[in-house]
Amino acid sequence: MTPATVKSGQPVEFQVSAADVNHGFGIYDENLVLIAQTQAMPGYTNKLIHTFDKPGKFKILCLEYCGLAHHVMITELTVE
Amino acid sequence: MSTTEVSSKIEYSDSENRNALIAVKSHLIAGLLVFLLMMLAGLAMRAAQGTWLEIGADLFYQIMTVHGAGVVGAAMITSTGVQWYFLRQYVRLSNGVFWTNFFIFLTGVVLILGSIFVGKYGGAWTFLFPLPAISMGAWSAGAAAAFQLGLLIIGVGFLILYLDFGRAILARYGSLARALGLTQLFGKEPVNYKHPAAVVASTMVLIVNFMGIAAGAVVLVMGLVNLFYPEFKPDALLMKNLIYFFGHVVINATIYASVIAVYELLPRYTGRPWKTNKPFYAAWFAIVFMVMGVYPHHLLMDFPMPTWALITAQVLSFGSGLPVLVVTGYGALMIVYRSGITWSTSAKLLFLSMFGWAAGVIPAILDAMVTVNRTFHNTLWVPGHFHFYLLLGLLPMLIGFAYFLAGEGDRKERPKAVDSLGFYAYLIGAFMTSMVFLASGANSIPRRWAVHLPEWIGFAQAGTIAASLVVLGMLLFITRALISLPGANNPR
Ligand code: HEM
Ligand SMILES: [Cu+2]
Repeated sequence: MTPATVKSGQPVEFQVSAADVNHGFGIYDENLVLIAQTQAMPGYTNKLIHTFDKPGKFKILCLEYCGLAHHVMITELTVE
Repeated sequence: MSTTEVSSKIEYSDSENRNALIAVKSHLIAGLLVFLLMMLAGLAMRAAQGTWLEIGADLFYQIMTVHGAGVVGAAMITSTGVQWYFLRQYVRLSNGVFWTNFFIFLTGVVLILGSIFVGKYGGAWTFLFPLPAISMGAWSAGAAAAFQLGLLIIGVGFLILYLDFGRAILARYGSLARALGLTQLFGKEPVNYKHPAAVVASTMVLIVNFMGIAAGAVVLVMGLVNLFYPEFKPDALLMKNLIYFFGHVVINATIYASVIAVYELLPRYTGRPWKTNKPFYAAWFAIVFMVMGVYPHHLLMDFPMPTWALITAQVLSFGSGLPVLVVTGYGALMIVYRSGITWSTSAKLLFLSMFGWAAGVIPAILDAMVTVNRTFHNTLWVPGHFHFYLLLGLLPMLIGFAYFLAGEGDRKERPKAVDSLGFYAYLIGAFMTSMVFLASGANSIPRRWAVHLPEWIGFAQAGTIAASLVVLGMLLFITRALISLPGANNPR
């Protein structure tokens, strides 16, 4: 995911797609609360617009079953 | 046609009736045993998520796949047993076709089990394209093919059975519209309170399942072709639409097939007839479209979906299930109220199913709202909703029917202490299992994660305890069914 850092207080557009199979793109806040999501699908680009109201370390979790590594798909997103 | 002709029952020879009873019992026993095994699989998954059981992620996802495919298959075969038992009393159905579907089903089950436990297929029962083809080496194209072929074969078996239903219904009623009660609803015929509810429900199930399975067959064939000719790449969103249409319709139809047990058995236990009327026909007519039109609520997080489809799905979802639920729940209350009903286990289960179905619809309606869906989609909220209405709505209908056949219908047996223990263990366990799923979803815990983050483990452990209660209840039910069912006479 590039960039891994975005700014709070202004809308951020995520362009979500997938290279291989279907995945899900779920944004979790520091308390592990799911705040927004969209599907990631081969051949499509989903635009998810979200405004972070506070800075912090967020997590992206995979929210569509994509195979044996599904639960390992976690990455970080820093909001400044 | 005169009303007596419409409502009179079909005569079969004694040998046909004996054979039919064996066939129905086979469906019930096979289905209930699969349910029990799948509940053990569910218990294992919950325990693994709760760190009480150590299994690898590959095995977890295989268990998840077999659980999904297994319960849907068991729901279809058991509910079909219930539906066929009653429908054949009003239209002339073929024992041969019924058995054929059963054996085709078993063949499909063997293929599916082989694909999962020999071929290591773990792409989930929803086989979401292109996952079956792209496993990163976890399973072969052959395993994915065996799984999809197994589903396809099962689908074909059911299509054959529905052709027989369709033929028999047309032979008796002339048109599906008349069988659904539409000629009465629209005033072309006087209202006949004795028009069998079983025929109305069966006609609805026949229509929606025919469409659903046809869509499933198309998507399975496309998936199979893609496995062997990867140049053929169907559109992922189209495949997703077809898969969810198929999956949504077939699992929903099981409850509409099983509710026939409520229409047929509560009257026996209360001594009051179930009267069909215009609201009843209208509800079943509406549900034909609702069951088929709501599936895009699975796709609310797919932004390229056309807005009209998502809005339609959302509007339909608000009312989905409600029409039939309302006429059935109201009818059930009226028929039981001050009837002096004997609360056999069968009657208790059938009455419980009304509650479980009604209460299970509420979380579904919530989730179908796009604002809620944004944070509930693909969390454990979703399994929470469907375990609720399946464990507390569908299964009580099926088990209630099994108790009826096993002796309560005939000898008017009173429940024994073990039956009551089973009933309450099951009731409390199933309620807790579903509530823990719902609570997990409300706490953003994703579905289909083999390994849970430390923050989530407490939920999974509570879920494990709840699941053990369900398994205990089910074990008692099954033991009872296995002991009493095989030798039981057909209740008169
Ligand atoms: C003791 C009873 C049961 C337990 C403990 C149980 C447990 C589970 C668990 C842990 C999952 C996976 C949840 C996740 O996504 O992390 C699951 C999925 C599922 N269950 Fe059950 N279950 C039970 C009974 C049933 C029954 C009776 C049915 C249907 C009639 C059913 C239908 C399903 C379906 C359709 C799925 C989705 C599979 C998938 O996501 O691919 N379950 N269940
Ligand atoms: Cu994933």
